[in-house]
Amino acid sequence: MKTCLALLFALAVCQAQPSKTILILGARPGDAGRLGAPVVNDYRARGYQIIYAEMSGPELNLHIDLTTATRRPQAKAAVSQFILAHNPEITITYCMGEDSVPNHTVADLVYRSWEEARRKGARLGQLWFRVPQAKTGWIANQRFRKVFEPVRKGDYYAVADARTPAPPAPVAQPAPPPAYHPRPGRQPVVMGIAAHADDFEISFGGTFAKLLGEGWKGVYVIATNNTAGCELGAYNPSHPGGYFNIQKVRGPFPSDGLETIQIRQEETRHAAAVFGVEPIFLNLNETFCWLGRQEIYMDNPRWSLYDAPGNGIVTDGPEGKGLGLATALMKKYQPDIVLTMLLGEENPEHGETADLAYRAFVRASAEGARVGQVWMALKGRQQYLERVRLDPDVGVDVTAQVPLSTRALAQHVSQNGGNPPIRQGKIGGKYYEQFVIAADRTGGEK
Amino acid sequence: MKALLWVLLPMAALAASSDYSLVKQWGAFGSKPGEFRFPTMVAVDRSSNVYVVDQHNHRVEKFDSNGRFLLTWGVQGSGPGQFNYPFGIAIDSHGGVYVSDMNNERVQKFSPEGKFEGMVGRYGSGNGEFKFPYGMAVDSSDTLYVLDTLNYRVQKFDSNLKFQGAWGSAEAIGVRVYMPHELTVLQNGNIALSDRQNHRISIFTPSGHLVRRFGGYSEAPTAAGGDFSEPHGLATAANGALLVCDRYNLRVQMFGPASVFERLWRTAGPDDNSRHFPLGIAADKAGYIYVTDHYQHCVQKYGTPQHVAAMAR
Repeated sequence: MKTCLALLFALAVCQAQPSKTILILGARPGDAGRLGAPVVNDYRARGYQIIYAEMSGPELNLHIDLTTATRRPQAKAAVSQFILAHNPEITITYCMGEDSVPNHTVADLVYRSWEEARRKGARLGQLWFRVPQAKTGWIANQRFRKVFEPVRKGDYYAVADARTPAPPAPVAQPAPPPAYHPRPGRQPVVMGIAAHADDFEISFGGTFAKLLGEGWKGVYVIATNNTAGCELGAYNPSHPGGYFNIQKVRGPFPSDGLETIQIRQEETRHAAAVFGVEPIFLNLNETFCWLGRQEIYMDNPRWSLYDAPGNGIVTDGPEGKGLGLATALMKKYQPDIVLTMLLGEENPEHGETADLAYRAFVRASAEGARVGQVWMALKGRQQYLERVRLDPDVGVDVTAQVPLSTRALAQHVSQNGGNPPIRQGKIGGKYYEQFVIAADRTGGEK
Repeated sequence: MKALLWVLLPMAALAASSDYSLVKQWGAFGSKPGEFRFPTMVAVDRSSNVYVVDQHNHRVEKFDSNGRFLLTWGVQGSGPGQFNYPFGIAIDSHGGVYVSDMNNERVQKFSPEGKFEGMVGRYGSGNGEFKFPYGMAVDSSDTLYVLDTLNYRVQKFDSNLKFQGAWGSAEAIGVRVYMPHELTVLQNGNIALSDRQNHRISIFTPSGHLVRRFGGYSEAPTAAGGDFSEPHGLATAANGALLVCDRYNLRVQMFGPASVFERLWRTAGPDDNSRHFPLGIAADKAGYIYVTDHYQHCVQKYGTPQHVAAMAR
């Protein structure tokens, strides 16, 4: 009997263990080999099975533009199912923040898919990001690189581990209040750069309002042209501002790209007016729009046929028009503080807008513009990845600005019905917006 | 009883179906003469020439009633005679052609040959300013009505594009009309407006007093006449009937005086609302009905069996 129980226990333990498999996931043919090169011989010699897979290969069959991967449910479903099928002890992919936007997005996709597979009961070990060699991309930024260093194992960052308990989520604490060092002799300038209409208010509306209240000049910038994101008629009729639809018909009634641009830009003008400024639109195309009730992504030929007005795609990265446009704005206004979104957000347009703002800041500085600091809004993403923690550098008490910021947010009626909740985090009875200082030209790079 | 209703309701809808059928279709995706890229509205002049707003080619194309290409004008830009995603079109009693140059926030007027004759508008909320002009229509005395969509109002101009008045606001245009899209002048001079997101039609006097609203929401192959799923283009037929493009039901509906439902027919195209979108509509004096399909990049001409017989002769 005892032996039987021991055997059953051993079997259960065995079944809970990952398989002796290394799963290496790349974007393009050949990449998986490079990603695994530092370790595969060693593991093979120890009896491990090495499985290589590419996103567009027969294993995953993802024939999509990879810069859109994290917002497409079928991509996450395919990758998580693949992980679930192999129960790998180690999963290897690129590193988030690499210079290549597809590489970065695949890393993000694999991270989220790996977590999904774990939730579904996969027997997993660790997830490794290959430490990038290049000194470009935002992972090269010291502020971000240093948060990965505690989990470095040779050529990899072990960003997640299913076999040991995850560290406890950090208790929310306000970071130190900002110590501004605006350039003397002129009115200080704050420039906010958000991805979509309404991201501005959600991410840093309170801080923007606070600085304007202290006499700063405000520059309000929206990166994308918002070709997607209006599902008219989908809002709760009980909301005073959201009572669009007399028939009380719920959506989906997505509006086509041109209309969505118009509606959301008009709402943005109203929102900016609450702060007393006029918005600047970089008009970078989003990665998808709607035709009828179908989402049309940029890898669909019909997306090009539709040809929505815009200045290239927001995920074009350093090759796109956006960098030149944003750099020109930085040179024109020479902001003391740039407020933007967080690098590596799941929504690729959010992360790429942060990347754009950061690169434009660096380029403008290199070309002689006297710029100050880049602040990236954490919006609660302090636990950046399971084992990678990103603590804020600056906490701005925006309690007094919450009403104004929320009133500005309420102008985006197509998004929130005109009755949005407060988006700032509450700590100890006060509302805060917390930021990472991603670049600092007031006294050296952070 | 319930089961009987399920049988009878579709039959009622079918009984109201029309004998209109497709008699001609022209156009395909492209930028050559006679081709289209996402055409929007259509208008017909007194000689039954057909003018089509070819939105993503930023131009207007003119055809005879059989679809023979006659001429085109416009390129993308903001100068006189240029367009930036135009949307609506209307023709006055002298053949003057008005085009709502949507993303340039203005209305332009042209001769029947496409010669630029004038323009009005810029971004704003003042008289003669627009926040995205969409549909347009001309009444019997050549007053031009322009749907100033994101100002939630209708502006009126004379044939020289001189501002004559405006009515409506986000609230007052018809109590929370949402995303109004197109309008037409009815035979009695009233204005019909497609209140798109409320899935209904609103009728106003020329000075903006609400006369009535009608329409309910339904989206199904058997949706009853008088129900809509996003009504878009509107037109008034020579016999006074009101024609409505019912977007997600992929059909046209026809209403008689007092907005009484008369008939409907499904427009030609796939059963796929991302590839089939009856958007603009117009009627000629002979009773033919022209529909632009925004996603099929074409114009469809519909007629009755009498029309078909006449065409065969």
